[in-house]
Order: sequence, then structure tokens, then C-alpha cells
Amino acid sequence: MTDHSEPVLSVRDLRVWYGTDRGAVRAVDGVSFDLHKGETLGLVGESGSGKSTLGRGLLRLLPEGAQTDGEILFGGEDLQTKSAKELRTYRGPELGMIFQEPMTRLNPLMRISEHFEEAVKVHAAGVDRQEVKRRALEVLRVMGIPPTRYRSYPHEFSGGMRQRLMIALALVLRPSFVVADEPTTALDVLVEAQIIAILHDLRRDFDTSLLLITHNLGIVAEACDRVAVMYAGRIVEIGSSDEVFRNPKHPYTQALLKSTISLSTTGLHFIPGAPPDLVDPPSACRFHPRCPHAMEICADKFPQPVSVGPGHRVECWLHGPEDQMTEGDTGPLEKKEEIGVADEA
Amino acid sequence: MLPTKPEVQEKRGASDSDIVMSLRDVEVHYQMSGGTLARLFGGETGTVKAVDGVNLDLHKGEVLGLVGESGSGKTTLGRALLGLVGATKGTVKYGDHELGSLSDNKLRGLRKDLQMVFQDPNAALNPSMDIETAVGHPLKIHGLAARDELRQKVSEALERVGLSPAERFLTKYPSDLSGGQKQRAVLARAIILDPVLLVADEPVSALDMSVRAKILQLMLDLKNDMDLTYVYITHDLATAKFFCDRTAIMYLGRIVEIGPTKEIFADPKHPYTKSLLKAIPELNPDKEIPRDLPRGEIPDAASPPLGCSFHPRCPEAVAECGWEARDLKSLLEEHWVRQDSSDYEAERDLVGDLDRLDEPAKRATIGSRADADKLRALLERVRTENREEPLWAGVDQINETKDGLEVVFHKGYDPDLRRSGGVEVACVLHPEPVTAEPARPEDAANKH
Repeated sequence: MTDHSEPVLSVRDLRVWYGTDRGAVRAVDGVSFDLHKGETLGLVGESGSGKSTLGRGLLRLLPEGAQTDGEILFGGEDLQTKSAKELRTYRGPELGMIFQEPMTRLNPLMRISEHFEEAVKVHAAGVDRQEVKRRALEVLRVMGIPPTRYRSYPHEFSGGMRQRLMIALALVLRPSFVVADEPTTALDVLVEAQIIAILHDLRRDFDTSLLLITHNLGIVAEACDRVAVMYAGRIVEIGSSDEVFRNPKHPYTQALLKSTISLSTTGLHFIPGAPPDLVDPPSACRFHPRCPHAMEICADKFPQPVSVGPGHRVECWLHGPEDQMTEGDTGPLEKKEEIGVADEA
Repeated sequence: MLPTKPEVQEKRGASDSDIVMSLRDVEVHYQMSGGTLARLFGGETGTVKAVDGVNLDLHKGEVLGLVGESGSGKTTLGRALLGLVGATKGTVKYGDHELGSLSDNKLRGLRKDLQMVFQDPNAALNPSMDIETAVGHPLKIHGLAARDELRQKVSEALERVGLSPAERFLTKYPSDLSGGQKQRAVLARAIILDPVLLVADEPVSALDMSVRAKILQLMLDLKNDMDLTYVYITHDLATAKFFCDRTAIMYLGRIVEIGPTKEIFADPKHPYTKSLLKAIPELNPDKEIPRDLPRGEIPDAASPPLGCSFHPRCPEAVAECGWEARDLKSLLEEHWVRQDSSDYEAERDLVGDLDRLDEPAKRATIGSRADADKLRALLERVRTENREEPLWAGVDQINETKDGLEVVFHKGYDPDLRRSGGVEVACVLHPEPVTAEPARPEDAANKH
């Protein structure tokens, strides 16, 4: 672990919200974490948990209309305060993004070579064509794309190859921080495994810190050093993959792991109810209406981040802090709203 | 084509009388024709063999899984089961009816019994139709209920799929519902005619993990309550393992392994099945990322590999699997991924026109005669780089010809499904390695 070094990325109380007719949608609602050099952090959560918004927010790639607050410290500088022009100098050499649908991100009329020439020209002016080719072929090799294909068009590649191309394009300028948003969701299981292996090797090959956004907990268990679990815009648990998978502390993490169908599944488990409406989320702990262990305090006071082990942090009153709770707080929640069958997802 | 063969007998003693549906040598081939000009001047035309010779019996009350990657033909096969696409060859029989010979009108009558659930509930529901109209639509089309009775039946169906109280949902539109609720509405529509067979194409793949289990549980409940038979189409082996009684693994239009789910998962025989199982990410932080997985991707169904379609990716391939020119091209490209730029440029010049390796041919020629020695040396370098590479077992001779250096490949076979233990497998290695004359000798002309 590289915990003692200065983090590459340091996020403090990041908030992202969108205005709608019904009110503000609080997609990211106070998120803080650090990412170290060469580290892979898995970000898991269900649709609507805010994980994609967080990923894009970190790179300042949010659509117009999104409001943000908080700090994104990258190499000591707060990206939140940067102008659009300043941000452009970061993208490519410092920040990269890998998307889910590779075909929609490649220009069908441009050869692969031209994609690389453009990417390098925009973000690192003054590099000549031969140098672009040398750099491109080097990164393509690491991705397992033969040099014979350098002059091909995107349609001449298979789905998995296109995703390798996207990763190569994101990495050609060797950014130190990359966000990959569901990079394998559109791929078949065998190709997915190939891509996961490539992402896992990024730290070795490029020294890149990676935020891997996925709904697939298995991928996180196998490929990530640490994992952050998101629920209703907040990171409710974060820790090393080993710890979180072996010893999940938040009731939501526990339920999510239990409901995941894997090869060892012998019975079905589910989480009652549905994820909350982010315009009008439940009071205090967002998970309390669905939580099997909900206590009086959970509907009343926001849970505090509590350390439950080295680098393992959880936001849940079950784990304290006890000095902030009174005796009445820990009784089972009485007036828990009934979850009707109709509210089931 | 071989004569039809008996299905694997189920342990629970399935007999002919409980067969709901029966497929014999079913093929769904699509003609690809370029434009008019291409046809006039003999441009590129060809056939995509989406489903290529499938035999299958569906037993009453079972859940059969059709598992495979995109392009395996599982969805096309599922549609052929319902007569939604016509089989270009072979028969699909439901009871005494052969779907291919029925008029559209008669087929529509049968649709009461044969229903489908699609992957994406957003696309399966008309966004401008309220839930009452959408779920009641089948009743209306078949003229089975109207007005109060219609509403009554729709309400019953909604309650049955957990959308209760039904009144709350009747007037809702799809955009008012969550993903899981939409899929429940789709299920309500599928069961409202009290069908016999339900083909569910990736019914939970678009849903969140915590919702998948709920929908699968609902499907199990419906099956038990209504005595349904399911065909469950998926790329997800984990849900198939839990959900299916019998599993068929598909690859490029064929079933490559089929049998009781327990047996397939406990003792997978086809190298493709083994690879799929190894590739599934598990919730176990101790498990390393698998590194010994098949290379490449599912090939183009318009021009499948010779011999066994899986051989170019197969970690267990032997000489008889159907090695050919295109495999040599892939191997050279793989080699060049590992080479320095200057070495690559030199070798690339030596090998010359790579397009010569683009045809499914048992003889491959590279370079020019003058460079024969250098080419031999190159192949030897590639071979020593990875002595495990199965392609070399399939090389019979390397000759100098007037056009360059010719690589001659071993005769291959296109394996049929054969019994091996409690399952059927289409692999030259099962039930025991075949080196003599198995069912279907590879034939380049026939494959095209």
C-alpha cells in the first residue's frame, strides 16, 4: 500500500446537484476520499446512487446546469477553481476518462492513427508525427493491438478491440489519474476479463491511479485495491477490497453483497424497497427505511464517518460514535414507514 | 446433416409425452447481399448462420437456459422458438403444429401459448400507453375480454406480479415506474393470456443487482403457480446456474454443450464452457484475475473458422480442430504485438501481403520464394516464443513454392454434439479424443 505518500487526488465534501421542476436533485451529497499513486479504487453502487456523476464531477465533465461545491485537490491544486482553458491543459497529460460505449467515442471517418495524432496535437503541441506513432504503437502494444492495425478504421475492430483502443487513447499521454465508467458493461464475459486484466495492470505499466466505476462487485473484488460503496449520493463505506468484502460493516454493503447472484448462490436474497428519491431523500441516514438494523437515531441524526479499521471508514450509527448517542437512540426504530409491495423495485 | 438423434434423457425420467416443443436441425441463415451493383458484378455476398443446426426438446415445466456471448445465436434461437423468425431449414414443432408451415393467422392464435419477455423493459413498453392498456393489450388483440372484465383481468395480472394495489398502477405510464416495476409490468403482459411457454431474453440483465433477485424470484413463483415452461436466454452464467434445470451453451450458432445444469457447472467439458466459468468475476478478494483465458473474440458468423468454430481461441485445441490460414495471420499479429518497432517493420516486409491470409484455406502462403530461409527462421522464432501454442500441432508441412513459403494445415473436423457422461458436447476431445473419422469432416466448401 502507498498510504503514506501524498495522495494524487484528494476530494473534500464534494457536492453535485441539478435543478429540476421538483427541486434540487442531490446526486453527490458530500463525498470525501483520497486516491494514492498507482492505486485502483472501485466505486460501486446501484443506478441512481450518483457514482457516474461523481466520476464526471471529479474531471469537471458535468453537463451544463450542474452545480458543484467542495474541493477536488489534484497535485495540491483545486480543480474546482480552474477555468475551462486551464482545465484543458490538465486533460490528456494529467486526467483521462474511459467510457462505457467505445463506438460512440471514436470517429468512424478517422483512422486510428488520426485519432492518436489529434489527441496528441491538442494536448501536447509540438510532437511530430513519427513521435506520435512511436508513442501510439507503444501503448497499443500494451493493450494487445497489433501494429498492423494502426492505419485501420474503427469499424474494422471488434467491440473488445475498440475498448482497448479507447484505453490506449486515454493513456497515450500518460495521465496520472483516470476515471473508467463501466468500461466493460457492454462487453461479453471473456472479453470483459481481458479488459479487466489490462486495467489491473495499468499501475504496473503506467503508474496510473484509477477510479473504476462499476455495478459489478466481482470486478471490484478481483481488480481493485480499495472499494467505495455509494448510496444516495454518499460514500457509506470505504476500505480495502479485502476488508470490505470479507468484513462489510455497513448494512447496505452487507445487503448488496448478499443480493448479488454469483456461482455460489444457493438462495435469493434481496434488499426491501427501492433506492430513494434524491429530490426528497429520507431524513438523516438515507438507508434507514430499508435497513434491517435501523435504530431511533438513524431517522433523526446524520451518521458520522467512523473508522472501523485501518483505512476502513463507514457511515452508520451501529458503529458509533457512542459519545454522540443517548440511551434512547439505540432502540429499534418504531415509526419506520412501511414499505409497501408497490414501492418494491 | 445427420439424422436426428435422441435427446439426453433427463434423470427425472422425462418422456416424449411431456415435450412442449421440439426442434430438429433448425437453421436460421440470413443472406447478405451487397447492393444491386455488388450482385451484378459478383461483389461480396454471403450467409450469416445465426442458428446453425440445433436439435432441442423442451419438457413441460422445465427451465432451459440458452447461454452464450453476443453473436452466439441465442436470441435468434429464442425467437425461432416462438415463430418470430422463420427457420430457413429444419422444423420447430409445438404440439402437432409446425410453426414454419402455419399461416400468419394461425401462428397468431398460437401466440396465446407462446410468450416472450425482452431484456430492456423501456423498449418493451410503449411510453405513451398506460399500464392498463399495455398489460391488457394481448387480451384485446385476441378478443378475449373487454371493458370491466378486461380491467379485472389486468388487475389480477398486476397483483400477481407484485404491482399491488393494482389501482395504483393502472393509470401510470412506463416513465412513472422503476426498472424493476417496468419488468414486472412486462411479465404481467406476458402471463395475462395464461401461456404455456415463456421465452425470457435477458430479463434481468438491464436491472440492478439488488433487483435481479426479486425478478428471478417472481419468475420462479409464476412458474410454479401457473405451470409454465421457461427458456431463459442469458450471457450470465451465475443466474443460469441458479435458475435453470438444464443449460445449453451456445457458440456461433451451435449448441456446444447441453445437459443438466448441475452437471454442466460441476464438470464442464467443452473448453468454451470451462473458459466462461473461469472468466466470471467472483465476490472473492482472494481470487486473482484469470490470465489463461481464450484470446480474441467471437468470430464473424458470415465467415466462421474452419473445423470447430472455437478452435482459434481454444486453450485445449489439438491438430484436428481445423487450423487454417487466418489462424496463422492472428499468430503473426500476436507475435508483432511483442516485437520492437524495427524488428516488426523488418518482419512485416518479409511476410509481405497479409491479405493472402484472409481466406479460410488449408494452405497459407507468406513472403516470396527468395526469402524462404528467412521466413522459415521467422516461423521458428514465433514457435519458440510460445511452445504451448496449439496452432503448431495443426501444421503438417512447410514447403517452398514458387509464390513463397507455404504452410499446410492438418485436416480438421467440425464436431457434432456427442454424449459424454450425463451431457452432450461438441468437441473433438469428448467423449474421447478423435483422431480418426468423427461425424462431420471439415469441408471448406460446405462451410461457405
